[in-house]
Amino acid sequence: MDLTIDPSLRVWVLFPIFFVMILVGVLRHYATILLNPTPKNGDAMTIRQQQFLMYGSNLRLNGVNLSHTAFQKRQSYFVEQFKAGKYLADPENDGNNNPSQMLNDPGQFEKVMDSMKGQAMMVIPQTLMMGWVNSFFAGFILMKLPFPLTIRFKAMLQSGVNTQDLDVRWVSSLSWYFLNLMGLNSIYALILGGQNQAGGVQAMGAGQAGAMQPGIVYANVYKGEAENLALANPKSILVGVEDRVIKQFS
Amino acid sequence: MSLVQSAERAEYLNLNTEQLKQLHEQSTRFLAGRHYNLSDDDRYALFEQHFYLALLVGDSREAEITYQKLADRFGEDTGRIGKLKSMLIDRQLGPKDALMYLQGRPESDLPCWKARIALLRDTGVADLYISELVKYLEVVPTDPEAWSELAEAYAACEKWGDAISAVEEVLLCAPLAYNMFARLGELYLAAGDAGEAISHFCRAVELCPVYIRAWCGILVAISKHKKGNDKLKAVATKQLEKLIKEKKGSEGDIAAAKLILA
Repeated sequence: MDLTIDPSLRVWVLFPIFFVMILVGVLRHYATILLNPTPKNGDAMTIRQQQFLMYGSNLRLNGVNLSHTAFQKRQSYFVEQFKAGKYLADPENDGNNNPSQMLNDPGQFEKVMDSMKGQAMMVIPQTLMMGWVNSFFAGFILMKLPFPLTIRFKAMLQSGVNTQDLDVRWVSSLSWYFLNLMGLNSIYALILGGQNQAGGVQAMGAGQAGAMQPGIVYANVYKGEAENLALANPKSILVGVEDRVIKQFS
Repeated sequence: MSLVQSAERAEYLNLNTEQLKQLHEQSTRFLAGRHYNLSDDDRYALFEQHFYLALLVGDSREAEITYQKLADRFGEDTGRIGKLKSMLIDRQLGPKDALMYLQGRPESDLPCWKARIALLRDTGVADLYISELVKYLEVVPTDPEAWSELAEAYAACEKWGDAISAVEEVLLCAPLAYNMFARLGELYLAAGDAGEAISHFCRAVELCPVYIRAWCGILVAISKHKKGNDKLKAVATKQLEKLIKEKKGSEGDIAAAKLILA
């Protein structure tokens, strides 16, 4: 059986879907940039909390650089401080920041909102576009691929059309929409440059420095670091360095 | 030298006037054109570099234009932009206004805090400078720049013990900084502990065999040490002579080495 396609389908359906998809992508790119949260500075206490953890591991790993006494002085001091929890950002509420309470904290709430915005920028245009294609062009056959395909591609190319024995080469409107959704990335890259947000897929995530993750009890992290630090016993690199130099250069 | 590379490594900080002018010209020409194939990160890194270059060659108008581009994109709330703004104010209105501006920023804004302390070095009293640095390091103990500034500040008022501790902190953040080992040697020498000085100078040349300053330090430290160390002295002398002959090092360093050998 052969079908003949009305040429105005190409002008009024195939190309419009294609161009609208591109335009929506470009709009999404700029909207994402506008809605992008400006990176926030964590408050000083949270920064300090993370910094001193880093300092602890630095001291453990690079302690070899110090003389024995210099290392021991720092070791005994910081083991005490870490155990006492001196560098905790918020000693009273440490570890209480579970997800339900997170929303009471305005800072956390904002972070959640920011990531929601990113997701909304992806979901809303897609819902609208699919609704548009589905209500205006439901069941349309738009084009014929110039090469034969196996039957497995039927689900991909003919969604929205429930005919069992139609040749796989015919592409339905809904499938054309999906093909555009998946395949326009290189065109976006051409228009907007390599790191565009038009695809809307990589918009989320990317936790920021100084952000508190829920459920981490920093008092325990510090206790662990104190134990590690107490066990560290590096051999100073300055011991016997004269002999090494003499040996190396003579 | 590619522009992006020099921005990444902040190479503009180590250039002489001629090279600076050249890089500035290159940067101006490049940024005036179209640069579609750059990623956003690289493009704004180039703008930031161009800002510094414009300040360094003394063109504050161009610096302001470049600053405006960055501020338009990122807003004035972030610390990095705030730091640029303070530098611009410093150039246009003077350090006092820059200090005023920086004092208005929140305390959690680390780059601005650091810039404020840096301004204190030139305008303020040494005590205040040191106490501000210590406050900063209480929050950010892993900042080698700040530690070494603190060490120099202590050294300037001859508090050798404190200076030595501060340089040791630098070594905890940057374990292979041979120049810091040599600096530690110098500080020990100033504090009168020639034995410690020798071992720190030795570590410096172990990390960087062509470091003339540390070889010189070894010779000076040995001459001040009670016991002395003839073997090490011979090695250091030989190495210095070799480096002088091969002219590995700046002219100043080589002249100093000749002076010490003589």
